[in-house]
Amino acid sequence: MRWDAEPTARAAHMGFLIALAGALQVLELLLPAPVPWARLGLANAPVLAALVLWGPGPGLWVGVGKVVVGALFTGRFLTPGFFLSAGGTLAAVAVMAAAVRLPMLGFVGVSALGAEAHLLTQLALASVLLRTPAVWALVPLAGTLALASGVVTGWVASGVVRVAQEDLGYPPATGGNRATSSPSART
Amino acid sequence: MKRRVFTPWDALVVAGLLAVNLVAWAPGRPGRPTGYRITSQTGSRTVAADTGRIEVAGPLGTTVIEVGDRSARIVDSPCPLKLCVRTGALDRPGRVAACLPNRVALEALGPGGDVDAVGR
Repeated sequence: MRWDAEPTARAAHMGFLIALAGALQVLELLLPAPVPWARLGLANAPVLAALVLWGPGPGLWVGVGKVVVGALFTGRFLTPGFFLSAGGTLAAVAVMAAAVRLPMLGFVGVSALGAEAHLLTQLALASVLLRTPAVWALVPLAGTLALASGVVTGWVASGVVRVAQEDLGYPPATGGNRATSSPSART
Repeated sequence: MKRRVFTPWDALVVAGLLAVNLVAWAPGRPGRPTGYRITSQTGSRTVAADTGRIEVAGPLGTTVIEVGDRSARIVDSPCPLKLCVRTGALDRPGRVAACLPNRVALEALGPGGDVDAVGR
């Protein structure tokens, strides 16, 4: 059976990715962070996986789900940090949705672009929130950290996608990465 | 063909972004700072060079700034990574050190500052 003949299965898998993103955010609370709202960003891996597997729409839903579920888990819902996180994630989804259409980019490149977009958007929002342009001074250090985490996140996302494609039978979905013959799900 | 984990283009993207990040390392403008602007939760104020030690209150505690004759720096702040302390001495107009967790920013002022006003 083709995966898209089973919307229920896809909904379940999307829910799984959102839950995974939420859980990763809670785990990341245990790690030190350069600013209170910034985290390693492993929770972006499920978002990228959804983008690659199903395209921009589901990617956006997993992104929104990640922000809301993560904020509820961590008690930040509707705090300033929540809006920084939401803005950063939306920017990352938009940039990654565009980047994923470029067939020459791998997971790491797409993820790095998303991480940079996430950070720059957060800093832009923070500069408005704190009413000082001084936050831009953090770009060299925080940007380099974000880039490093983006590389790791891309690698993690590739693993999630590989499991989905090899074990669950999802076909490659976006960009120039379509299967040449029509993909059939494994049983 | 499935999407690969890493391609040569990815290396290019990562290198490019890294370059962008490092260029953003504000080199500052030539000359000596004539004063410093300290922005905190309670607002912003300007201090002259050689003011000495200043303590600024923030949500996490006290950020300690040392304003010397030629430069100023954040010497201590109650944040986890101390990015602001590691920024080091601000010895040129336009350079900035910021402790976001404690909501404190230190900016060196001096001639030619109007260009940077665009971002505000």
